[in-house]
Amino acid sequence: MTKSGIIFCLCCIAAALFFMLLALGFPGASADGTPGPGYFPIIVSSAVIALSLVLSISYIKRKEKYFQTNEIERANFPTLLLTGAAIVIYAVLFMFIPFVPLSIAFLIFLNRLYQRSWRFNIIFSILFTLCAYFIFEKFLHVML
Amino acid sequence: MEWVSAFIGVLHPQVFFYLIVGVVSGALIGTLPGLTATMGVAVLTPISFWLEPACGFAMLIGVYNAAIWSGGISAILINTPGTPASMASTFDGYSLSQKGMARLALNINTVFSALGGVFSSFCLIFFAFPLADFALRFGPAEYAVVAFFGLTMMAAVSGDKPVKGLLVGFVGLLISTIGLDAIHAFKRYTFDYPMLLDGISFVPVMIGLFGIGEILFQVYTNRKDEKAEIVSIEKSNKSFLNFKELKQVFPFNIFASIISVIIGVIPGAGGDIASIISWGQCKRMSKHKSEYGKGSIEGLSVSCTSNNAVIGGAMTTMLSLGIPGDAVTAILIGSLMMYGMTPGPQMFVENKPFVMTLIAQLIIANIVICIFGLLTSKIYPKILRIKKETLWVSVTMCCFLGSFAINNSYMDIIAMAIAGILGFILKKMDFPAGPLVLGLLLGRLLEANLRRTLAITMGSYSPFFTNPICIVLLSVSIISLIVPAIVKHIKAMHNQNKQ
Amino acid sequence: MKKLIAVLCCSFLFSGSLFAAPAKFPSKQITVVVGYSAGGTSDTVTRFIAKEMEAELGVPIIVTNKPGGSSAVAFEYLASRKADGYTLMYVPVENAMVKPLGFTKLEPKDIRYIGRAMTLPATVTVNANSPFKTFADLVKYAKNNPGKLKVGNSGTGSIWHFAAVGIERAADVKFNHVPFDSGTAAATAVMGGHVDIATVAPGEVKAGVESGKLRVLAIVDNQRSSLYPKVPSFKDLKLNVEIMGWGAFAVPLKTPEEIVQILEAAYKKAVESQAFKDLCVKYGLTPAYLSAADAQKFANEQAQWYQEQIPSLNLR
Repeated sequence: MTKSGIIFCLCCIAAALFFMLLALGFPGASADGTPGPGYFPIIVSSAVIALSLVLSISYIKRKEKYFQTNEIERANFPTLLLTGAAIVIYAVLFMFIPFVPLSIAFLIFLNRLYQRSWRFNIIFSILFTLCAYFIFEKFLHVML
Repeated sequence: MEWVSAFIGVLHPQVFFYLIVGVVSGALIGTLPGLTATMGVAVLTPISFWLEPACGFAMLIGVYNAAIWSGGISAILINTPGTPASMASTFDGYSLSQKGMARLALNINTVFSALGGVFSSFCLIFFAFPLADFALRFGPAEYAVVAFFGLTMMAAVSGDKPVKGLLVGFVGLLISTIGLDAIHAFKRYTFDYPMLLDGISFVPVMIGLFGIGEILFQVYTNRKDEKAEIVSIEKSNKSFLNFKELKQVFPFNIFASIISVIIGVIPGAGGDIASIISWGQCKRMSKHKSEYGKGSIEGLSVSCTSNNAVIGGAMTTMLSLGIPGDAVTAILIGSLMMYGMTPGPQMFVENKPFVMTLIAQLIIANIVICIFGLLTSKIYPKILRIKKETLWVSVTMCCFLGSFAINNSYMDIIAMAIAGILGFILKKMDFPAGPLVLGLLLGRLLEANLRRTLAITMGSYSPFFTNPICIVLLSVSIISLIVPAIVKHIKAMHNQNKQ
Repeated sequence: MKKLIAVLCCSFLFSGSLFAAPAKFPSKQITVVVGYSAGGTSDTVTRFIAKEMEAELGVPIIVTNKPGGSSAVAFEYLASRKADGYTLMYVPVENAMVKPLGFTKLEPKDIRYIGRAMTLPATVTVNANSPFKTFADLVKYAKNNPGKLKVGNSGTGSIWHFAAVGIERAADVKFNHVPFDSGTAAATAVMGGHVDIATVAPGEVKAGVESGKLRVLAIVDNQRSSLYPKVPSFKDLKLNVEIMGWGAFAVPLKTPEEIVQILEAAYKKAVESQAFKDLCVKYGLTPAYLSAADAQKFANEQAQWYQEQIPSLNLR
């Protein structure tokens, strides 16, 4: 699976190109010689593209293998995927749904995913959320 | 004589009590990922106004020092830096605790943090004014060079994968360009979201990369029948370094302390930058380079020393110039003013006893931390005995809460989650994550000051080659980049000749 | 044991909402949002006023920081909150500038001001070793050497950048503007001799002046500063620059009139207290209370003015 390494490099190149194309549209240096806002992004994104190319060539040459998976990892893949998805969904919903219900749901889901008993799951999720709510909202004055 | 009374003053039961309150709450705040020393001090500042200045400050200084120290605890145990300053402690600390030497790592963290703190307090006593004048010599050009010097540490942080490290580091630099540009206030890549105006903050990304990334990796590689592993967590009974090891690490720690005090003195550069620079620079000079990043006691002791040694430096700038040396001292200046004192040289004249009390508090706080840390180092590793699923869930939640708590920003939450996924991918593909954080941390500092220098000189790069500080730092960074390569080359030639 | 804790937690959580009948305002904790990090002047002033208002209203008032985009992030947050009077915001002069700067689409019209507390002028500060002893020296040099003097400000498009531009126009000179990350950073750069002048707030140069490293040449205001009574104001110098920082409080637009009145009264009392005046002296602020209606009118005028001025600055 040399591919995954190259895919990563391609992603980097795509991102760098995106940054660079936008940066090319930024205003240029001002009259007094100060470089414009695009100066730094253009240099950095060129470096990212160059390094990605170097790395992908070395991948092709050496046929390095990444994302080698063994049995355990393959068995865990659905759990990993669901954990990752839950984290992203939680992050997105954080803005729209009040903290307490969202977090309890999130924790119950994760605990269920890791096959904890229902009793532990519910007690833990509710207690943890409430404690966090009190510490952060009431004591640390965070606007949860 | 004045000093004796200052120290006795701190040991007064009431003052001492608040110092301990500060240390204990600082330890809690610092251990939780995302709750930084800045936040701890900010939360306790209003409470400190109820108290007398000496008591209030004892508490704040206790929090400040303890939070920086205890950030290392979570770095060591769960690979998530509790405060940004302890990022470098994850490199060696976590490897050590995975090898079953959590207690040793925690004790190193405690003892060397305290030593760094005490060392920097003495610098504050003896060299406050020369150091402060030195800090003022740092103009935009010097800042840019410091940032560049910090970025050369990418090589050290990447270990034996330089190209991968550099690629990730430059990606970090690219991310740092998101947001308002520091010179022309032009909106870059913000797509009209006000939340993106200040860019992607560094702390949530760091928490995500290290914390969530590690959890996802554990979820992925988890063996269902794993019972033996848990016992092995405390397989080593070694609780501290022996004399020979102490002799080995000592010179590096002195070196790291000096670097860190200087970085602490420079306004705007704090423990995060200092500990990475010290760690990287010591790695270059060490005879045991290859151990760094894989559980080197030398590396861990250096990073622990340096993040606490920054405090004395930052306090120096605050007390002798009235300028904040870092985010925490910015808040401390506010509290000093609330108490009717203006930090600055005249404070050493008008409020000399209070300045001495402050310094005495710094030293005693570090001693208290040392004792407290050594006493509790047996308890902390028990965290690892908790069922790992519980640990995953709790740490995930803490990462979210901590990221949000810093700025009450939804953007930070999303950045944290994405960084977490990215952290897993990087780890799985054997890319180092350190350079990305380094790039993000230093990108803005480098870019803003580079362009600010050019704004001052109207487009001429000459200050970088004429200012003494710039010349020294640039030569050091170039030498340290080139020399190892040459040495390697010579060695290779030598071996060939032998054959 | 666990159950006991759970029960305790639950009762704690709901007690607030159960016993608080919605009859009288305020009946629960009030939050004040500050668009800057902890430790700065805005933060200090807000915390101080909040503490004074707390005594007046009899409920806890907490201050939280939501920094970003010259307080544009906090601004959008406030505008999106429920208009029940329990979320307030510290609104700085930048509130009138964020729309023309393109940071947000909101303007002061979109929120309801409950009063203005103070204004703060810019200073013209140089290094103590600088050859310029008076503002006239400086203008003379600047006229002969256009674009040579490096003026540090707190960021392009920030209020102290405007102050420098205002001075440029009033004195008919040309500066080289160097943006820093904050006013303090600009003042520090003057101390180190990296730039020639800083046009930042009196409080930001205070430590430097008292340590003999900085010298204030003029106050960009119609009156002298309480911190530097010997330094001439622009009025003394027969110059007119109407650019200054200010700080006010605001609530979401649709907040009911009676709640606004309660908050306005408490705010007035807090701002007109002797303690607040003492604080202003310490930080070099000018106490300048305006009532809710006047503050709103003032902010709208300011927004109008910046709307006209900012495009002419040719900011990019």
